[in-house]
Amino acid sequence: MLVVEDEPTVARLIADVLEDEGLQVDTLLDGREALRRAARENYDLVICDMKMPGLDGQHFYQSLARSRNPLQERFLFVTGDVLAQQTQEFLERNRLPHVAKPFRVEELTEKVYGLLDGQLARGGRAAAAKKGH
Amino acid sequence: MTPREYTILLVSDDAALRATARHELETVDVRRHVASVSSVDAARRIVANAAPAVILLTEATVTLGPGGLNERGQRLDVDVSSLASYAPVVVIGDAQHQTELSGLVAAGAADYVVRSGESLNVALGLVERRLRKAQGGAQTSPSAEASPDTPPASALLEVDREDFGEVLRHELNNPLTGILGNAELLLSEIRRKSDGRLPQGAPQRLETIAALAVRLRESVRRLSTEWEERHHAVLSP
Repeated sequence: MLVVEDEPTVARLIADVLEDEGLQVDTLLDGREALRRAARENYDLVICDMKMPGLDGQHFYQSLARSRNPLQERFLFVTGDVLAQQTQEFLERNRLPHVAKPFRVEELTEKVYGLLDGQLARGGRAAAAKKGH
Repeated sequence: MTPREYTILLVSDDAALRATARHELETVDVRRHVASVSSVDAARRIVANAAPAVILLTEATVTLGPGGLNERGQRLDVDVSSLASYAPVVVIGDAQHQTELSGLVAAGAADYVVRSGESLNVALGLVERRLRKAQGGAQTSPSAEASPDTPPASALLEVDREDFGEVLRHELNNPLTGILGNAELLLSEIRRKSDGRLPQGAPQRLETIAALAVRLRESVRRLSTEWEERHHAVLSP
């Protein structure tokens, strides 16, 4: 898991929640560093804040999409700004899963497992198709 | 939707800063055109043709002598406003010159970032924000805000409300997330142990909760005061 969140207490919280679930987590406080990291490492899921100084979540996602980085398909936004029209439009247009801050721990883990299960299902179908089933 | 192509003008005599800023800005979107010059005079010569969406300027580029005046006997705000009539200007400078730009900042034509170890990152964040506003096109352009045809007070209040809403949500939702999440984790750790003792990490979680609650209190106080001041300033005759 890659957690990108400029607020250290929230970044730590998300990492704690996921590590409690036995998942491995890298946390970064900056979108630009996340873009560099995403170019050279593979993650099962990116959990990303929307509003960050420097490179925000929206531009981080768009940069990944432009470079056709497969991580764009494994993205979960956490945002305290779901009421903002621009944020709503961006999330809806790109059909991006998100969790609104402040979130319950269970909301976060359910969303994460839902996305991971979806990936496993997609991976299983792809593997089956490869074997000619 | 394909974003418009646009130019960002860097004005700085610091070649290393120009190179870093160019790299960082182009990392986000290679279709951006980043022009750079080392002086305000050079910027003035090209700004009309370059038609930048945003200008990033380091205050040291404006040679300030005794009394905060440049070589032409002008203050920093004169130089910056000459550029701000073309595009919003994000200025990185010393704390002592910040007040000189307060008029331009209040008019929405400039941002001022006090020089520090993190100032370039902060300034780049403001550049991105300015670009988003320019692309969104929903707001009055900063150059227009700085012109004599200043929008009516009600229009300024709308812009303020929009930004204020963003700030409010950001500053309240983050500490609330930390408080709620840490409390829930602590409760679940206590239930899991079921021996009546506090879990090992409990004091740290409680300290985080208390610190975030204090921060929330301060934010509510500060934002309330700010809101009252803005509202009063716009509504006053």
